Amino acid sequence: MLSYTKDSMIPWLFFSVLIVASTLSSAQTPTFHTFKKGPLYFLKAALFVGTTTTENLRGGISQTFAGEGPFCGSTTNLLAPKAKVDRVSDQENPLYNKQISLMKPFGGGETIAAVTRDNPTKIYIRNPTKLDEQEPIITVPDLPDATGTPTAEIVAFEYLMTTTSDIAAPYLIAAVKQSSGMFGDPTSGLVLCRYGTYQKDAEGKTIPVDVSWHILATPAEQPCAVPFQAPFAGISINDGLSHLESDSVVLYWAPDLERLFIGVTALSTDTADENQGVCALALGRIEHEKIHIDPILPHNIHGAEGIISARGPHKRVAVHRMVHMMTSTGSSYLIMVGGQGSEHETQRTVYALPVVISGAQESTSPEQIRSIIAHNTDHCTIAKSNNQPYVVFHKYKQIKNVYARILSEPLRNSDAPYKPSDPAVAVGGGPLPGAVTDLKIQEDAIFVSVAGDGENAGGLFYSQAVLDSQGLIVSWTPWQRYARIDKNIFGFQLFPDSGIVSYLAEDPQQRDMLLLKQTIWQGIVPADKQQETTTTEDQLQNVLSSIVQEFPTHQGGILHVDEHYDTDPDHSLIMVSGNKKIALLWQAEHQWQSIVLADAITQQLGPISCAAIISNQQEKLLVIGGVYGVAALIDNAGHGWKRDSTMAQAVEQITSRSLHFTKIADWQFTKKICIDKKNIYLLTDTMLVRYTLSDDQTITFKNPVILAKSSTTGALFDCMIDGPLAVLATSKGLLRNESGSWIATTDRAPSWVPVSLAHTGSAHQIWCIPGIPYDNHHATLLYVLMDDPAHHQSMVFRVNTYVDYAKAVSEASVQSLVEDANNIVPFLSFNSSRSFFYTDGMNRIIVKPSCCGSSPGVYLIPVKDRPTACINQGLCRTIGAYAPGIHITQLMQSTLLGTLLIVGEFGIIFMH
Amino acid sequence: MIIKQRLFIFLLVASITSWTIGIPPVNMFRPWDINLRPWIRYNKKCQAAVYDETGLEVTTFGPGHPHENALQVWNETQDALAMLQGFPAGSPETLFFENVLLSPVDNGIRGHLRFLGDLHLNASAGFSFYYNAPHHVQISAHLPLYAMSLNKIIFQDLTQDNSPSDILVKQNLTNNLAQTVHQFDPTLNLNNWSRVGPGDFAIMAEWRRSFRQRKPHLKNVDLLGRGILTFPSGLKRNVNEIFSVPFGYEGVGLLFGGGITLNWWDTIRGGIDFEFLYIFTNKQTVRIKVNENQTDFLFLAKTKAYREFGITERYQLFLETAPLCYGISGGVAYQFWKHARDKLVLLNQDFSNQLANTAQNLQEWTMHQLIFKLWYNSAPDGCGKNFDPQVLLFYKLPLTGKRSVMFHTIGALVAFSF
Repeated sequence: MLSYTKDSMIPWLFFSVLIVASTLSSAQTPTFHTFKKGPLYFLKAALFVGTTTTENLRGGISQTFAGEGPFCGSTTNLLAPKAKVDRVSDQENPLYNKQISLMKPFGGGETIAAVTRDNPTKIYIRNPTKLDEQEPIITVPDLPDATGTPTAEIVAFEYLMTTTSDIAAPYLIAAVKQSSGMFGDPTSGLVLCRYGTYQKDAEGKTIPVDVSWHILATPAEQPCAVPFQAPFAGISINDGLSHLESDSVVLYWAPDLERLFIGVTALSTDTADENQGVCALALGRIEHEKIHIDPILPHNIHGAEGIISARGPHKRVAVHRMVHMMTSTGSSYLIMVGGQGSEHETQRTVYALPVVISGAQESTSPEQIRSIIAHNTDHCTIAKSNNQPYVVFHKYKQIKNVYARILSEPLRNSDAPYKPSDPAVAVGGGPLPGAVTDLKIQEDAIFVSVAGDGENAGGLFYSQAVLDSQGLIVSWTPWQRYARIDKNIFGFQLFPDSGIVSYLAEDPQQRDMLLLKQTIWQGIVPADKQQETTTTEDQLQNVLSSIVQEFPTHQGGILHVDEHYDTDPDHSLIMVSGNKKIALLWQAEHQWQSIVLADAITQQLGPISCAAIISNQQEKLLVIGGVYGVAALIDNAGHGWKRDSTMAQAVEQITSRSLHFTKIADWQFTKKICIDKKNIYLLTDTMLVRYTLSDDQTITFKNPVILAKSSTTGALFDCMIDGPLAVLATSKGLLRNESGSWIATTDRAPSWVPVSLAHTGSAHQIWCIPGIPYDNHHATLLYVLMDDPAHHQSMVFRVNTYVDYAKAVSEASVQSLVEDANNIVPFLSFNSSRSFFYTDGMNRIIVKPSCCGSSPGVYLIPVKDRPTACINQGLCRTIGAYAPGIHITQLMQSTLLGTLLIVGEFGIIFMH
Repeated sequence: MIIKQRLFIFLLVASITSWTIGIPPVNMFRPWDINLRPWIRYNKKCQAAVYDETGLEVTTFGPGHPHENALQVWNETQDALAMLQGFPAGSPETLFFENVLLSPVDNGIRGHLRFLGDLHLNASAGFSFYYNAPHHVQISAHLPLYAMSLNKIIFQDLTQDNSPSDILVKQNLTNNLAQTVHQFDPTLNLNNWSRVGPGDFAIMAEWRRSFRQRKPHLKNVDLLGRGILTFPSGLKRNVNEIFSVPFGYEGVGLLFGGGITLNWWDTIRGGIDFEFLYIFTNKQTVRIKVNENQTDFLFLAKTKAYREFGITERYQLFLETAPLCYGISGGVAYQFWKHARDKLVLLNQDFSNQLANTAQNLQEWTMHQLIFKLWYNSAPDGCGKNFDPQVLLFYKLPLTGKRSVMFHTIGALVAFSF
């Protein structure tokens, strides 16, 4: 007899919502301030917003603080009516109450460079110093265009502190044009100016000789802007350029690379043939204080077609945003928003292109490197990706730590060109649901904020790089929503130390206004542990609360969470299992629903530790695994619900009792159910078993094939199945099926081969970062947690798997990442036992089990600098801390919810 | 000289061969206890006494509060999961914990068992021989005998059925604890035991002198001082049995004590008495704690170690009557025992000394008890004839304590002089 508890039946009174770990006491996502849309940027925790002037709102620049600092949430209008302009006091502040059109940080502090809408020819530097009573404003002198006359409009500018000259100095590069023209016309160009003149004293210290602006001459020694000559810059391919879109220029100075990336939106002519086209990206190089503009594809002009270039008539290619990414293995990539197509299309696609790094290989001294970088025109051009990277190490550290993996060969005509569909190039595997409004890199992940027109089109999304054994990107994970943010977002800042995100969301009431919001870690605990009882406006939280109440701590809490994600949210569901019952969570008409299933069969199964949805062309059915067997939710004829049914319809069948649990196998201690095409794999603590769907796709559970037994592999803890390959985490370490075997079709247990890691202990967990399958190939990055409680240590290794679905497993199918030059060393190591590891690029979370009387906890590992030594718990940030004995059972990234779920005897923690 | 050499050798051998724990936290009498001292016959050279007591009911005081059973004296529950932890990687214990039990988390009840058993003090007897030497000195020799048993041992498994870990632990560990323990240490016996044997032989020298007072109320003051040397002849504890009580101090002991007795109106006596026991450090084979959570009955690791004993203190306040009619008198005494923590110095680099010393059985223990006495003295004036008997009936009432097992006992003593 089934018993059902609908969430609507549970009195809200019993919901308990508790903040487990957050500096914020509110259960709601905190909102700090409202801003008018305008140019903005985050500088660490400070947000600078150039407000626009309206009838009711004063313009200028405001500053507020996000994150967790003491000023968090406080807002200041930075500008006063009077200022000390160019060292003259009591002058009208040229930025006060003005509409700001361009704004960027000038240096690393609070100094701001801004251009106003009513005077686009001037750049003003607001340089706050405590010594001055009035705010000092420095005006950059009139900038000349390419003809030498003062510019009519500054289209874009960028601050840079470069070391290409002997003495590092602050510079501004501005893209200028004539008032009647467009950027890209012969009169437009780039101007370089330096603030101050510096020299070194006898002790080698840099001292200023003067503090005025110097507009620097062109390479031809002309006192004007360097003309942005499209053919020379590689923008026009064989005279295929029609024109650049007005004001579309984007400047990005990559300080680590010492290069200026110049992005434009270029359109080809109506008559362009197959050899003619346009490129949207060029490189700026500063040598002896002069700008040189070089093509980014000097040796293969069509090497990135569809990404940054296009051929033929009426083609449009654009670059809207750029950022330099250095992966955790030290590989350099240019990440750009753009591509070929309409504005609507190019704003939604993100690409990653490897860049050439020159200098490091040949030279040893920093001066030599600077010199080579300054004049090498191949530096930062698009690199050939399939060559062996050269590894450069820190020279001054005793502990070897990968500094950079260098691709030194530029892409040439003989090399295969990059395509937009290349799995290593297409970040997230394809377009986002809306336009990218901000882009940030966090180690191996790319985070983008998105604003779109459709419902739930906006939000914060991320994609993680899948690295190969050499540390190069081979694929990306699909775009995933982050922290349940589903509003239109126009800017964000990541705080990896605490795992929270501050973001600027569109105000649903006034769409031209932005709300500064911040995520929190939130915990929901069973009522017997409640500290406060409350309901929230967040319907999902309330439904989750009702589920948590079904799994009280004294009955073992939540044992497992699984997700079935379909592209249609109405067909997706989350399965929360515990002792003798399972709860389903799904969405119907944008409302979260839940149901708890418990009957005689679930009682028989005992604690239910895994669940999965198995589907074929016709139907779907729910399979659950417990301590005393495996059961499926089927009707009397052995069928599940129809494949095209929504979850709401499926639940109707469940409640009408046409679907009920039936025990289908007696395997004990089932830990995991993996679905891979036609096969269903059951992992128990002693064996790995495969069931194969029949050719007519009927879901039956007959003729199991036992693939692994603990008598040969050791105790089984976790597994990863991908086509012909199976990787097992066992007490004898990480194992894979032997070369030449095919786990999906073999009818006997294959031999299991150890994967070479620098530790011989037991492997406890595999955290998978699966790339997007492409052309019958699939790459996955595995984080393998090796736990050795006897020696009070645990470590995380990284392993790359690469399978060809048409071939059997080979030696190359599983390879450890070479974190060191020649040796396999752990990616992370800890000085005590750890039970789970999770990473989404932003957060690296480790779970410390309750052991030796110590309390268990969920900790955030600092991502900033990868420590080469053992990570001390003191370095970590606590997300959840519990009484000794509380069991944290699982971490799961939910695509449906768009958040990480941490579950256990304590309830649930998630971010929103 | 030869006697001295032999005595030294005896002491040395005794100290080296001691291999179990020292003074047990059990309130059974030693024959030299101040309450078992017969009235002195000043006109006789020798006196002899024999006593016997038996336990009626046992009261257990754990580290924090009273427990229902003697087997909870150190730990309320025994942790079978922790039993397997703390061993080197690759050891059978670690492999079993990781590969069979799959490293379960100890949630406070998983793998925990409540050990229950009936501990009996079947008999506590002793023989004493006193020689009344000149100069108010009495020299005596004592030999106790004990009979104890532990039976009806049961293990109440607290592990639930809420998670796969629970069931795995039940199936592979707690359901067959004795077999699992036997798998790793065939010598560790979790079964009943019964043992009879001698306690420590002791020689005592006591000086006692009365000072007659000429005051309206206070009529007499007795001062006494004593020194006792005990030899480890007692039955040792068996480290392979759970809560195996040693019948002696497990080492050579040196005891100093003294007291004062005031006599009012020649009818009521009251006073204070104290003793301090020092047991010489010796080398033992001990079961040690190798994991923070391990509980004392499930120590699988055995090693040799030096054991430094804590000082045992005993204080007594008493009030009693002089023989009133027919030589019958009565009294009550309050006793407080305190044993300071013992310390192990492991002779093994594989295990942590610091961790081993956190075992509960090494920690301080205390006992508070009342002793009710009823004497029959055939010669109240202290000058009896040969074989004039003295008879003592007593009852011990446990009050409170810490890490101690205390019996309600009744007993009797008969003494003669000649």
